[in-house]
Amino acid sequence: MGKRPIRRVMFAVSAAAAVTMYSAIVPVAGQGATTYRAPRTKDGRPDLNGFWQAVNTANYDVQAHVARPAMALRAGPYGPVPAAQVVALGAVGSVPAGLGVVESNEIPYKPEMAAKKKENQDNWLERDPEIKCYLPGVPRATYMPFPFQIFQSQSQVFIAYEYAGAVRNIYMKDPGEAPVDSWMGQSVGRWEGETLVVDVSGFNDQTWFDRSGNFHSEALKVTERYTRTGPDHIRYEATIEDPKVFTRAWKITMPLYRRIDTNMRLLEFKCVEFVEELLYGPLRKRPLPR
Amino acid sequence: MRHRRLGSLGTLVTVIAVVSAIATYGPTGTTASVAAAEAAEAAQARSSPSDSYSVPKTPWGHPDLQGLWNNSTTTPLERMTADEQERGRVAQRPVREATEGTGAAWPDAGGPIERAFLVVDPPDGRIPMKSEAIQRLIAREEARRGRGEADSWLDRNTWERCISRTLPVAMTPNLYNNNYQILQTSDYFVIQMEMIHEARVIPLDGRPHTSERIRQWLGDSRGHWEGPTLVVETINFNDKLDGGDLQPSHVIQTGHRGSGKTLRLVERFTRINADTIDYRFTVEDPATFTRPYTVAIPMRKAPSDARLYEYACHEGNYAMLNILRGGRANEQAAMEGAQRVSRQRIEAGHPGIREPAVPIVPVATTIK
Repeated sequence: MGKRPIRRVMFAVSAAAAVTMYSAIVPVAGQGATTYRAPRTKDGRPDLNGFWQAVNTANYDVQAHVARPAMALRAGPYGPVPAAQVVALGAVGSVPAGLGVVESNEIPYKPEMAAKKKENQDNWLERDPEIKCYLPGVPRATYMPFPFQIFQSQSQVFIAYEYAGAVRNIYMKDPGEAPVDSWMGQSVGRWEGETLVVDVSGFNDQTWFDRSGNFHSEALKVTERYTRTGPDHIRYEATIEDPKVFTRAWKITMPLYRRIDTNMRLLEFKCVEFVEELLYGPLRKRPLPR
Repeated sequence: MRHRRLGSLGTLVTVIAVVSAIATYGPTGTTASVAAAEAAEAAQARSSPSDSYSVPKTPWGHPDLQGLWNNSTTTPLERMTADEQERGRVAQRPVREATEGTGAAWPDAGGPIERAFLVVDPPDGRIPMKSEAIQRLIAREEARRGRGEADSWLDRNTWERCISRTLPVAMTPNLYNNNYQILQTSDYFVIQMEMIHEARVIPLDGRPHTSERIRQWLGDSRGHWEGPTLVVETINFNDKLDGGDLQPSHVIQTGHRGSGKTLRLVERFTRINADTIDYRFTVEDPATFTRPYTVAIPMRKAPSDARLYEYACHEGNYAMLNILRGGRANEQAAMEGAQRVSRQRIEAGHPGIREPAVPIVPVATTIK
């Protein structure tokens, strides 16, 4: 923290610079308790309103990973090569590296469930719900490579995601058990000081945590924590519990960055239209060549 | 030629009537003059809060319209002639037979409101289409000749495809999921539509519209308060609001009757009492209508224990798969039937005749 040169003679000029740099040195994701006090909404709560986006490769693989040729691989003469369906994408279809967002980098699968994860990964093209433009579930919706917008009213928090127009109502008064399973689950929120804590339950078993086949059952429960750590940052934490799939709870952590583009807004990514050829193409009266 | 054109016009009018009737699930009849008087009255009334009602305010001073609202009604969109109503009833019969008496609990059709139709301007209750726009729809219908209803997903509407109900239709009631959750912040008015979980995020901060190169299914909305009324202006729609050129007219969901490219939609939301929002929209589309028209549909507060459910439309869209499979199965059955008849004729020893009893339509080389 003591690396900013501030000289008295340049005080007037550096004042503005100091304000800009302050936000860069406030601790973010996973670096312990924050001393930042967020501006308040009219009803006195930390203000999470705005556009946010994760800037990492967690959606490829939540664990630490080196770059690889493609998501879908097949055996080649000297090691894996991209599967035939994706080889034409070249480097556009390659997987960038990631530091990993999983605390202790371990996902504690039960042994038979670890085998299922590998099977998911080997059959990624057929199985990843993202490919079919299905709703991403929680927490994957948070780190899709698209912005989302948080809205806070007195009684409710609402999150609209650009990806597939996914939405989440976060009830600030517990409505009881979820009456039916859903893709995005049922979210119930409460404030703990500076942190919005959201308990999500009532999931179906259809979503994944990333493109690497990490999955869950309908017994999944996710506890999210959103904490402002500076003018343009949120520390996002999600604890995942699923006794049918994992031997214990595990946790992911990452910063969320405010999208400060001029006149920022969510645009449409209604990808249902984009996957119709994929899902229904063979059922055309006159199918296109595949 | 003139006769055929009138016939086509009649077909189109039926089509539009049927479409309106099905969308609003039950026409009611009335004479034109009474209806016009009612509509004129309704157009003036009920667009501002009654004197005794004071709209609650949000902490930052805007009228508070938040909560869960429902706009189910059986009142039809337009005034229809007796002939159109009859054609609508005939067309609805299979739908009624499919859902009545089965204990189907999910239709949420509501009941009639105190007006005979939802259009309040023009006062005669008819949506004023330009003849060129009608001709365009007729030409589209005729260009579809030779296509089935399930040749591809493009023959189905955008609601069945789980893309969007599009505007303004998404703000009008359908058979179910007529629920809207309104949430307000100082800078945004958010309408979450239960159907296909679409959320409309309306900025209130006076920003400019996005580039006209960005054309979206729900357009680009901006809102501002005029006293008790939120006024929302939406432009920059894409040109697929009527489903695209392959869409048959006789589909259940009514889209906008033009492409959407020239559509400007102005909506007004006014809370007139604790349980009612007066919601009305004005459609301006000079390519499609001779003048703007206005529709008013009251939104009623849902019971306090009601909630929005997730409508994972696309994720559960077995309907599309089965509609397409059904189309292919029908074609296969027709082919097998034709081949069977052909074999029978040959076996019966018809001299020199090899062609099948049912002519097989040659497969066109144009890929659609």
